[in-house]
Amino acid sequence: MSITLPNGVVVESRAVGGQQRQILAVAEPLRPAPDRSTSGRLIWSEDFTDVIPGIWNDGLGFLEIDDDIRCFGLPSCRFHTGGASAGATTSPNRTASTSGIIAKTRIHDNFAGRWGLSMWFRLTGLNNTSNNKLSMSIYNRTGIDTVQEPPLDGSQARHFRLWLDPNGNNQSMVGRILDGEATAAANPGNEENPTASAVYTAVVTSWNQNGGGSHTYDVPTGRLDRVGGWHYAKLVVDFATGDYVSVQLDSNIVVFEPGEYKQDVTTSTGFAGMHMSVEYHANTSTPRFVNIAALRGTLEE
Amino acid sequence: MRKVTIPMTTLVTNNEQSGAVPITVTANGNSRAYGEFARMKDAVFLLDVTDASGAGEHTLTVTIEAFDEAADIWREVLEWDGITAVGTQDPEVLEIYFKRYRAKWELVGDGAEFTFALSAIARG
Repeated sequence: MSITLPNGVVVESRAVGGQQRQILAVAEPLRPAPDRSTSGRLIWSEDFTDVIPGIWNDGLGFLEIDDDIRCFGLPSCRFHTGGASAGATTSPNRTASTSGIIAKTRIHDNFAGRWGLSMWFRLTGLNNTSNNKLSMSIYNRTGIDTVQEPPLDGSQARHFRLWLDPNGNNQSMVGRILDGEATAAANPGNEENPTASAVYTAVVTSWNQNGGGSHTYDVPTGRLDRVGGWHYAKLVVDFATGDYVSVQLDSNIVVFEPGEYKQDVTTSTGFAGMHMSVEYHANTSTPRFVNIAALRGTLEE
Repeated sequence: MRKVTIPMTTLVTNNEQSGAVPITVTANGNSRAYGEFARMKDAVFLLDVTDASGAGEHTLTVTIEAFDEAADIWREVLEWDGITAVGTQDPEVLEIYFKRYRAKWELVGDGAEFTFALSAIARG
């Protein structure tokens, strides 16, 4: 047994020579990656310090814990398309493309909470200024509801998504949200079709260059910048009201009015659990990769 | 120490809903890349052939490849060759120096068809 005291001192009880002994060991406590946001109560955290990621990829690309690209002294996670192409998408769509990476954790939840998802990310490899889509999402599915009163509409997916759009070569990055009401309005008679076109609305702009066109790391082409430039993004949503609550991109935070932007609702018979995910896909077969770090799920006020 | 089982027969066209373990192959091919090895120290690779057929002589060769990032190429690091019949192959242990591995299979013979499970148990 071991107990870690607040100052990092570890007290261990071990059997030594047949006798139980208490041993004091002084060690530096594990240091989490920093978080740029101060809101929310931490529910889960992934710092990529173990041997395998704690998030799961449901796509054709692959994940790799990356000790070459470290975020503030800790490993990051490389999202690599592996040459998989999603074809000519114009946005991250209403449902995420499996022809890329969908890296997620899942939590069972009853559409009652305000949830947050945040991460650091870096446009690491070449070819990240166009023909790729990076986004983060929080979504849940109703399945066949036998619990809530009145029951939720059955077999729905309720999506909140933030598209982190590089917006070109070293332009200011733009954060666009999947706009549920605008998407439904754009698809009359077809409002809940998951393959209908999505409408994304720009809600936040980063400060100056996105860093996708320079300071990259791409070994076979001689780009060897391990540091690059780290962006930060946080998405906060309210499943009880179906509202987007706030979005943060780097130092810019936008807080929405109640009802200003709504979740996107589609039909879905998929797994009825809440998903918190980061998605990345490419529009061509050119291999591409980005890195993320300090992925956090929070419950928000 | 951690141990992780890594099935290695998922194709580049598969996701979690559509992968196959074991896999039946009738042509040369390869798996997707597996980044799970990035922080591993060693692994034992396991190959079990459960079906082998063909119009005449038929042979299966299974290779484990590792990715050389600087050269942007895959390098062969392990091979089971000359497999003609059902059988459990000897486990092969490798120290894991590379970050990314994949499997490749090559078939010889008219109508050759093999079914096999291929996996690694990696330690990190």
